[in-house]
Amino acid sequence: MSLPRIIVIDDQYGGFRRGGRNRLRENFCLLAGLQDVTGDVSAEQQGNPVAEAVFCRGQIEDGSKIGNDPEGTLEAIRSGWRQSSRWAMLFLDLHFKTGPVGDDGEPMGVARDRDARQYFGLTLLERIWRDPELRDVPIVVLSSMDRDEVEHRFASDERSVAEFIDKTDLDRERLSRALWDHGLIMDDRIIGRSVALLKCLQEARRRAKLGNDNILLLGETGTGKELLARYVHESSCRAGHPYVTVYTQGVPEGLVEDSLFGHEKGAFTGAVATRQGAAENADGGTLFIDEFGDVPAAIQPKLLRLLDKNIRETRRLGAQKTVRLDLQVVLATNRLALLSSGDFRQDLLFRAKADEPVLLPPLQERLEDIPLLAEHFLRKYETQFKTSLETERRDIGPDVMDLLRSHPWPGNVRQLERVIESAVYRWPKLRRLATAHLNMPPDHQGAHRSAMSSRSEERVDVSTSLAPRDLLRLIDQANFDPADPASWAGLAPELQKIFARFYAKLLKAALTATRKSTAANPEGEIKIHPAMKLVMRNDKLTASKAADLVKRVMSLDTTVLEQLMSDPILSEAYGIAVRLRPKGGRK
Amino acid sequence: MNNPWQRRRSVLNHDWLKNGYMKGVDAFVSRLGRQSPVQLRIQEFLISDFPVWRRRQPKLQALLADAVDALSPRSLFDLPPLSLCGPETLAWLPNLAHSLWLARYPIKEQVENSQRALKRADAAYNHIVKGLNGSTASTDPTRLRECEPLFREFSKALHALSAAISALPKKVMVV
Repeated sequence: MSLPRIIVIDDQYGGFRRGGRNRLRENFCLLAGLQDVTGDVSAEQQGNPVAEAVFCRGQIEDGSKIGNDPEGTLEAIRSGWRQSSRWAMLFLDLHFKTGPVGDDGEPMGVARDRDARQYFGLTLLERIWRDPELRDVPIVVLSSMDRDEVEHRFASDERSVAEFIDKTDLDRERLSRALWDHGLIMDDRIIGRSVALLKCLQEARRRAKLGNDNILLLGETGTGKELLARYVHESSCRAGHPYVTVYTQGVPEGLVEDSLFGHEKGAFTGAVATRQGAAENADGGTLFIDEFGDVPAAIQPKLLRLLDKNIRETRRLGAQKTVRLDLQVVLATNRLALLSSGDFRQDLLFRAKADEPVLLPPLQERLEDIPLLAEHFLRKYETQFKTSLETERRDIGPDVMDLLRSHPWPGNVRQLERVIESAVYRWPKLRRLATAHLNMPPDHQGAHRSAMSSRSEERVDVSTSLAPRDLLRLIDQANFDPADPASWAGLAPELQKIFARFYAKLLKAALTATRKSTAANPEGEIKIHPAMKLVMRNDKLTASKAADLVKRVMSLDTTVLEQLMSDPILSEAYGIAVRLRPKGGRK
Repeated sequence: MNNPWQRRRSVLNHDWLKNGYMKGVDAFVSRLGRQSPVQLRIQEFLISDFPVWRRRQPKLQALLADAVDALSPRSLFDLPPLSLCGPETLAWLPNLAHSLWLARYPIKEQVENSQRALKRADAAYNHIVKGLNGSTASTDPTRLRECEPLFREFSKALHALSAAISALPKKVMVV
């Protein structure tokens, strides 16, 4: 991960000193753990620096006099802010010495410099705040002057500096803390460096710092709420303690309640043993309730005491006693209009802090992150498919980035990931990714219009159903309590039927996707070989093996075979497979 | 900040001690703790920066000696409009204001506290000089490492001194 970069505006540290060095700056950098990258003087190499620093004097020398330079300073701030390695934080001195240059090469200072009402640092602060481009730059006042005057001057202003730090107090630890608390810093765990994302991470860290809060993550589908929930957990004092997820979307009401609160032995038919719920399992750590907006109405009152951070109580189904817990609760939803929807208990929303959510920006607001994300996903899937598909390492053509940046991405980062993943497994041997290799979602313009018009409203789109991989992950995470056989006994036959239908749907999707239109058959001819290669992501799959697999899929459960054979596409595929492999391959 | 004493304090405490000298001492201690400290920077500090204390210490002493008079409300009678009072009034009122101020505010204690801090810092400086065999030009690594605790003590004393000077009133108070 690249180091955060800060800008320090200070007359003493920013100045170019005699002999091509600035010893005050050298000492400051050493003590604060800063690697000086200004480039105006030779810089001492720091071991394990906390951040990179660019120093700016904020002044200009005019003959034998030194004066303040607000315009030049603002331009320096803007120009660094526009770069991708933008300022994580701006450190601003208050008192700047001006006037004629003395024997020591330093300005001698004039009375106005020391007038707390006229500190040049305050003038700069006002100018930065008035500049719409710089409104998100986190600012720390770094000065050993008295801070009272500054605080009084801006007491009624809605803007505020992040912190006041006395120059004598700034060491490595203090700088790290200031950056962590207020800085716009990148993190390897969540790819991106756009201001929108970095502000979201900053807010998430700020909220996580409390350690026992309820934190609502609000963002469109595919923006990475689950990733952010994990980030909140790992950024809080709960890191290293349990992190338990509860999914609510599409889960029957009874199961949501049981998975959240657990049950006592005998609470219902089949409850042969007591079972702890997710809330209890998360004690000491973090409970993450995914798709909080889908919590059934009947469960909402039962969440009230759990979400009351002064109480944090839970009660197992059928239990007389409540259990006190010590945890933080992270909730996530893509229902952007949750607060005004009217179908949610207001007291619950209040406790969930729905009025101050951590907002995850849609990919449309993070366009500058698309190259980083695309590169990240490309490397991820090249590595993942290295063994099975012998993927080549490829670069990305500039036209690809243009196309990716121009797409509206209603499914956000998840959708982008799918497109890249698909490009890798469909074209494993490429060394350059071009636009032709991208299976972009159709109706580009239509999707764009739809996305733009619905962004301010609640979305009803692909987000209402689980993505297949999320579904698989959910299944994979299922656990079966040996002490509670009633909860899983008899599942196998049902599982087998569901699996057979699921696999058949997958096969049908692949058969449809690989259909090739011909003059004789405009709808497209069914080809089982390319379809199975796609399903298996295996270009080396032979035709006979593909036929065996089709037969196997169709025969996974004899009780649903008839149902599957009623589908013309599946039926035709089965016929082809049997013709190709009349005997072999059946198991 | 038109009060000349306040300006002197700002130059000595803020510009020189806090922003320059103390950082220099702390950075030196940090460099000394490194596996292989850069000799050039060690020498620079010992030869050019460290001995500056000798020249500045009397100025700090004078600053503190002048503090009570400079911060007293009596000084307000030197400027209009109070300087326009009649000679009879000026004969007693300024001294009364001064006495009341001394009675109400612990200014003497604050100044004495600063003076004690200055003495401690000066003593810590002298310990280092003695530890270096009287010469601040000594750059023998072994001897310097032996003196590291003394430099740390000096740094601590400087921080306490600076805090004490900063705690003195920011303006002349009215009683």
